Amino acid sequence: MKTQHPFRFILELFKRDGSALGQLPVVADWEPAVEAVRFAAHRQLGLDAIGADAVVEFHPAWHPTLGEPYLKSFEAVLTLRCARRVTCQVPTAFFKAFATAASAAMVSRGLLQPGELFEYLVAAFRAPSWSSAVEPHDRFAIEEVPVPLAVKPAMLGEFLSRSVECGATDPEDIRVFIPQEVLAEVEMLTRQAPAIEVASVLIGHLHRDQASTDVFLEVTAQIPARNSQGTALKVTFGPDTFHAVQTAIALRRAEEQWIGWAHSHPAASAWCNPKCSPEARAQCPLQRVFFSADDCDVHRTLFSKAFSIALLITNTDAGLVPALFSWRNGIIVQRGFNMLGQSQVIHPTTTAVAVATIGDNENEKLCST
Amino acid sequence: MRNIEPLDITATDVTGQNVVNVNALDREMTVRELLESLVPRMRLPPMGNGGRPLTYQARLEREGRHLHSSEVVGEALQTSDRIMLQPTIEAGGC
Repeated sequence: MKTQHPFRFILELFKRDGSALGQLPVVADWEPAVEAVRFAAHRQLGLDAIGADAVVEFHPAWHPTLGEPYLKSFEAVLTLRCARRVTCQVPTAFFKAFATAASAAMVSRGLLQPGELFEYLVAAFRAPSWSSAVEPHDRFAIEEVPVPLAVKPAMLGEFLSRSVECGATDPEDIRVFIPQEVLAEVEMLTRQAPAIEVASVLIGHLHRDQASTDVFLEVTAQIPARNSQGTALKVTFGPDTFHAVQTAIALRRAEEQWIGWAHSHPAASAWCNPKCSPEARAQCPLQRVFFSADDCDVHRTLFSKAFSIALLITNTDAGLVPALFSWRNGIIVQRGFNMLGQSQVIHPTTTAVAVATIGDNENEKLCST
Repeated sequence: MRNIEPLDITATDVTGQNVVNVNALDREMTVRELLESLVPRMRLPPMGNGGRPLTYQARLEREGRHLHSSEVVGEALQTSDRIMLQPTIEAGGC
């Protein structure tokens, strides 16, 4: 798929008092926005395949009060060869990682203090269009192979009738169904290894609802990443993990696909200081649910498809707390899911889902111990 | 005798959801050079947060092994081979 950029995007950073820190041209990873609009086309047009000749452009949506050239969001616009168009509104939070990286440079130049909060605006200016399509290369040529969305026909209503809702599902999100036993398995892995982070790859199916033609996701199994290297502070996915997952999928012969991952945060059992009082531990930021910047990297690198999900189990003093994350309009957000079960008995840990922070690295420095 | 036949392969990401044909490969390239060029052209992130470079390996499916970065493409690969680009990446906690 070819991406074209008829606008240049500029990041402006400000201190909290409104004083300007500087401007710099945006150098963004546009792929999540491309994926978002590609998936929107799959959903809205009922297409299973989108040709390599489709084109994506990025257009600004002007800020309602500041006006041009400042953005409230931008539109990813996908145009198919048949001239049909699909758009996706991407919020300016899309540029948060770039703004964070830019702020680090300003800290090193003494313009910001370490940990000092800042604000940013994104501006856009029409410019000679440039393309980020695959450019000719003198040592090889490359050609994208469109991979059809692997969807199975199913009835969404049937899945809804035998599931319970865990957290709210945004109208823009596809429904995600997780069997109670898969959630229990991930929680068991967390309990069995309280001193380290553990991880799994989630496999399953994308379904297309025969009534609405929209798609939804069904997790069918979690494959423990037994070859991953877990420590108290991180878990490493490497080639051995991927090979093990592919082997498991082949042996199961159910045409399942990679749809996401799960991992644990051993907050109460490994991160928190055991000498802290129960009151201090209850307030400890390490026991909050958060999706770290490294977690965002894993999701972008391994699970960049717009339907991909990430299940996080946080081990807190109050018990295991599950939270689900996925892409929404090009950024990673926390979201609800539906738990599939034989009965309507709700698993105790899913009755309350804590609100998470996403993409920050501030938890460690907030810990008072 | 030097092989001048075109060398065409297929490359995928770990999920198999991102696939490209890589045609007319320069046989003199090393696997490291191939990966350095291929990763951004497959729209895979070359770096993680904070600008840390990500490490990718190429798994040659025909032989079920990972190619060493110093191997020469023309010696290790055959036309119609399929390689899988596999990163080593950390999910982090606090």
